[in-house]
Amino acid sequence: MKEKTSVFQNIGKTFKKIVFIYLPIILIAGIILANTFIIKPNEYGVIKEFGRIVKVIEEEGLKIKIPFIQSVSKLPKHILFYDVPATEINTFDKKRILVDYYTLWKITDPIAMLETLKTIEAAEARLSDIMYSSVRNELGKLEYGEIINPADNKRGSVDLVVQDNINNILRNNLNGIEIVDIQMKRIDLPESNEQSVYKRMISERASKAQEYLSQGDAEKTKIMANADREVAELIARTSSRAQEIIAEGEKEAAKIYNDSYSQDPDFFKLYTTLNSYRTSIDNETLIMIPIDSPYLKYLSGE
Amino acid sequence: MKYAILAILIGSYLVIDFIKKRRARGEDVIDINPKKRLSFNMKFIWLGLAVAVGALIVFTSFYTVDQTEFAVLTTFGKPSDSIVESGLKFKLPYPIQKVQKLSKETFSLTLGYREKGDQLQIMEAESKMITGDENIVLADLEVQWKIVDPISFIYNTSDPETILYNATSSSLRTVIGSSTVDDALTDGRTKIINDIRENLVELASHYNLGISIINVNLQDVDLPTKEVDAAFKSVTDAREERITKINEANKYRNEKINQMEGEQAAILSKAEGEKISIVEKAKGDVAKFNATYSEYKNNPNITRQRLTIQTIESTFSGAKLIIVDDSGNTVRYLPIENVLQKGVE
Repeated sequence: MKEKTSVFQNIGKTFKKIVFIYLPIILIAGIILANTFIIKPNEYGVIKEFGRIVKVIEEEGLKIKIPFIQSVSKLPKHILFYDVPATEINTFDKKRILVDYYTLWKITDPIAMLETLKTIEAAEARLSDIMYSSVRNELGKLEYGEIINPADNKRGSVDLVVQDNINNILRNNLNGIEIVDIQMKRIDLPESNEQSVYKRMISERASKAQEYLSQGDAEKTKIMANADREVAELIARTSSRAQEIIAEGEKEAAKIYNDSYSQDPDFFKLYTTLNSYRTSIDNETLIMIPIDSPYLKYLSGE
Repeated sequence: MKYAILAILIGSYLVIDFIKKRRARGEDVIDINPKKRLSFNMKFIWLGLAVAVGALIVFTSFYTVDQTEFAVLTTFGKPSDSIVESGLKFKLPYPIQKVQKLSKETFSLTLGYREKGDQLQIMEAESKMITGDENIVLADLEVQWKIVDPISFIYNTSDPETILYNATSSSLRTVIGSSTVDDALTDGRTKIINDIRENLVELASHYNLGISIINVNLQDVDLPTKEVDAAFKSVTDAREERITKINEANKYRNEKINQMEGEQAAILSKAEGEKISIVEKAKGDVAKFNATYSEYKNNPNITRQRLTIQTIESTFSGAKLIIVDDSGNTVRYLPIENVLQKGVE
């Protein structure tokens, strides 16, 4: 019996020890652990007292809050990506196109953000709304060609205008968020328009092909005509050169004749006269000689 | 966290094993003496707890960093400024310090297709885009990138890879939207690639993604349908055809010119020949004249008469001769042929 008592006494002691020493230690440790939290560099810690925001922790590290009274929630501090749903817009020249934007944004004032938007999803929905009313407005001032071709920089400036518009609206509404960048990541045409673009591409190419063919024909004709002209010119030049050569020969010959014949003009006269008889008189020639001609003296042997 | 679970499991195992061994030795764990029993059980609990905590500390204090990895050490969420070098490292145990590892490898991001092992999956919607001259092309792009600043990569943006993917899509469309379809299909590709790269690098640094763009490859630029493709090919054919026609014409020209050059040479050489023959004839004539003249000089009268008679002989032999007086009447007809023949005889 005595043993039993002591056993129970012992049990009582141990329980006392557990209840009054171990249990409080564990409890306190538990409470401390449950109320310490880590804030990363890309997080805001928002501390609420009974639902009322009392503090925003921006510094990273190990933090502690008052148990039971305070609760903590975290909001992202880094840049957030939001893929805005694609939407159809009308361009200034009444074409329908599908534009798809993405946006990068961040929370600049967690309290304002929580008060006006409450959640990230709500913030995204809000962004989507204001973004597209602004995009519709601004892109609606541009023609289709200006939207698809950013080279002339009109669209780039539109994107900046849109970004400014949105940031102004967000600031005026005290939303506590801010757009870092918006980019158009896609532009598409409605299906039916695509088909007409394909048709136009084909017809453009067909005319381009025809242009090449015609150019080919034209250039061929031109080259051949030029060749013919060149040949004709060359022939003309060559024959005139040939004439010149012959003329040179004749000049040379004349000089030779002159040099020689001028030695004695009398003899030359005789020589050529006699030579001309040889060439001009034949069997059919009828010669009339005056009766007192010196030739007759030779003929009659006088 | 997994180390904590592991430590608790190992701790529990050691305690259970200890009890089993005692039992095997016949020492019952549940002692008759309740006091002893309780304190004994408490001992087990403390032992188990100590082992678990010890194991937790050991398992979460050592870690290895591979050469191919970045490791970022955070103390209560706060990253240390420097990147941990590779090797076996010690840190304060979990929850105090944590290590986050990122690969140093070069990643590949593709637009318009996905590579899954050997399989190539085409994503037409991704690659379809409008060129500056309002044509539609399908362009496939690959971007190679790697992490260069792990702290920026982890903390600056919500999802750097998704942002990079979307920025790539934007850059590609911006650049293709500023180019003509011919540039995109043929000789403008280098410029397009450089422009995309420039654009993307600018966005990545604007967003502070902590990555670097290693390379941008424009894999393929295709036309959207077979019909359009055929139309573009017909232009290429027509261009070839044009060159063929020009070549034909040039061939004709060369033939003509060569032929003409031959002819030119013939005409000129004929003219030269003629020139020479004229000159030579002159020389010949003169030589003959000179020869006759030298005789004439020796004896002018004799030579004159001889020459005259010789000429008459050779020329008048075939001619008919009429002698007329001063009034122009025929005096007599002399058959000179006969006279001359007789004279010769």
